[in-house]
Amino acid sequence: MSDKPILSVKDMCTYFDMAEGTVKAVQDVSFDLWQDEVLGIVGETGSGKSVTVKSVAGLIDKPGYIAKGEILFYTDEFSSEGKLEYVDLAKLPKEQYSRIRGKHIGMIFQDPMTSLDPMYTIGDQMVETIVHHEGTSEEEARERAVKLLEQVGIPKPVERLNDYPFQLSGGQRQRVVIAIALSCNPEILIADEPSTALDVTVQAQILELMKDLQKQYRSGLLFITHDLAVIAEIATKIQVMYGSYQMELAPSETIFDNPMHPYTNALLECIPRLDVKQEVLAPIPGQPPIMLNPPSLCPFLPRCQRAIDRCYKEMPELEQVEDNHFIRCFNPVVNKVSVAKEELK
Amino acid sequence: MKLLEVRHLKKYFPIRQGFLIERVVGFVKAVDDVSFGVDRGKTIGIVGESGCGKTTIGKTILRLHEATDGEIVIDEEDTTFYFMSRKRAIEYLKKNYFSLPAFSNGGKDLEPHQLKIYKAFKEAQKNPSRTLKILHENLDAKRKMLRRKTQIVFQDPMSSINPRMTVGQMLTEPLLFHKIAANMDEAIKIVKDLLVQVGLKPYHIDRYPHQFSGGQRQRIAIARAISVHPELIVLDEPTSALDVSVQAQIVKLLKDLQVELNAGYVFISHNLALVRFISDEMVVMYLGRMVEKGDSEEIFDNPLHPYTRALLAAAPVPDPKKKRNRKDLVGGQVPSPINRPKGCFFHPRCKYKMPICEKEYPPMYRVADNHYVSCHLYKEHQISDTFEKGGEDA
Repeated sequence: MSDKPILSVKDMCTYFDMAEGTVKAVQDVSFDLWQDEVLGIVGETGSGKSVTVKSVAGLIDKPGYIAKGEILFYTDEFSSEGKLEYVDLAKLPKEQYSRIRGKHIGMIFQDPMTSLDPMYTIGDQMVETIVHHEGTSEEEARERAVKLLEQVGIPKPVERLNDYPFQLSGGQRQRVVIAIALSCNPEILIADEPSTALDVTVQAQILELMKDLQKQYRSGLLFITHDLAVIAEIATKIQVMYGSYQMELAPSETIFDNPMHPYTNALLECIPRLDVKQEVLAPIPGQPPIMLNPPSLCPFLPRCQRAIDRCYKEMPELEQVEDNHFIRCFNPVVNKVSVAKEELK
Repeated sequence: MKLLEVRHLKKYFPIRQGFLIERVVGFVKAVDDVSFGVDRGKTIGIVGESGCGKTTIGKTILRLHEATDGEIVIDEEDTTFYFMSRKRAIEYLKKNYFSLPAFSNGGKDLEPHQLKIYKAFKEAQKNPSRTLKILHENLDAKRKMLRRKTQIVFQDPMSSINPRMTVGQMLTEPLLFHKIAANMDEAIKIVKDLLVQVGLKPYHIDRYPHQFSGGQRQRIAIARAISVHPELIVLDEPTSALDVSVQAQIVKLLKDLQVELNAGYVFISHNLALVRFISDEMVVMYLGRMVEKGDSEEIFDNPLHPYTRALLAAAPVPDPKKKRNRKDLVGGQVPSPINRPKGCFFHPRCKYKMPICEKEYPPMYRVADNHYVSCHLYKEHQISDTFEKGGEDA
């Protein structure tokens, strides 16, 4: 099945109808996710990165809805002959979604305490997931749960099964959430800021673990973060979002070596770096956009240093500039080596 | 002359247990024997993971917490006992000053802040309570002065500014209280200038906090801190709640203001990259103790303590081609501060553990001009006598 992407999102728009007006949280987002691939989605608060993956996972509730576009998922779940086919998740009824979520799409969120039920033991929660999706007996499920906990690096897994979430530390809880997400061998794993709430030494452990497991399970990973350093660590492909739009989509090295969108460039120049001593940071002037009734122009326009006349008249489309390199900009940066990199050499 | 000098600072929080009759069953040693200083116009960074005591240090310097022990000297003036009860203040003076040998034989070789207390001591004819009375002369004015000189900016601006006050009300109050502005008209004029100084507009003066974005609110908190011309500003994770593009703006603002005000900064953060960018010196904390301190660049280029190395190895770098230095990474997590390991606190996670590490807490060894590390590995590398004695075993 490796000749086709397992997930293909096309022109997806997700809106929220509020009393004050429509908040267009995600607009015209398109990307493909292949097996074995880690797509990192990076952006600031309110850029639509979380809503993008929540749309994919069918977690958008009223007043939100997917207004437009397709989310094509390559699966055999709904075929009577067990054939692999594309199913449009955007049109999938809510009741059907539970056959996808958990089984084919595993999810890991920022705060493990919001995904784990404090009233049930770790074992109960893991067994329930496995029995529900795989239809195994409880004993089999328990055995599998122990193996999973071992894989995510929890010591004494048999005893831990009887623990409640509060008995574990933050890092361990996140490991349990990862184990549950992986319990049904999902084709897609969604990780929404999985390491943000953790201390830096524990964050490193979790990132290493996720990298290892992703290789082992060969699932496609959608990894969301606001931290460019974290994304550099894990992603093979990066999508930069700003104000509900994709700004740039390219392989990881390209984003860091040859960023073409002015926003990506500015972002890379304004982060403090650990590996080099910088004399100045170049902040991006202005404030992030307010998402209520924005004009249909490039959202970065008010803060952009490279704005040209055309930017004030129409909205740029996401265009391919090189192999696998897409940007949404009329006046991209070409062949610019950023300050920090020069210092590196 | 150092602006701020913190010596052997300790802050223990008692753990009480029991119904009706509460007993103290133990202590959380949030800050344990921490010493550092900062000059005017310089920045000291304090880094560490959650629970290492970095925020407590900041709050104790400002006397938002009362120190359990140790000296906080600001501008050659020991301010530690300014807010203590009489009884405690006398105990404090007895322990830290009156027992000094120099106090009983003529006050030789005393440092300026000690000399001030010695003079009062002599004037009171070695009577502790009269000494305190002399030292506490004009105490209200002294306290007010301290409150003006030291300011703090917190992580979350929304929880540190009053949502029911306009920017104008919020910023004029300290100006009038500290008599920086003679009347309201003058105060409003100063506030408008302040707003421009922190990158806002004069017409923002009549707005409420909720009308601003997170970055702008942090600017207001900074404006409030600098309005009274402080000399020392404690910055407790001032940019952690902000987006990276806004973080850079705030950091730049802080750097510019430092040049303008010539203030000393205590910059508390868990973000190592940010600390490298902003600070001249730094302290790395683990479970309430300093594990490494010194010149920032020196520590980043040549980290010595296994914990510092683990922190640096763990921090992700925005470059996909750079591979993590897996060798220095550590497993496990920070132990509970109530029940700290015996010996060196880091030994259960340390890859270079030696038998001695389980028994003795290592002293601070001086390994370079301005580079101290608290680790048994560097016993042979010290360049001079031990700088300070390490604390007693936990």
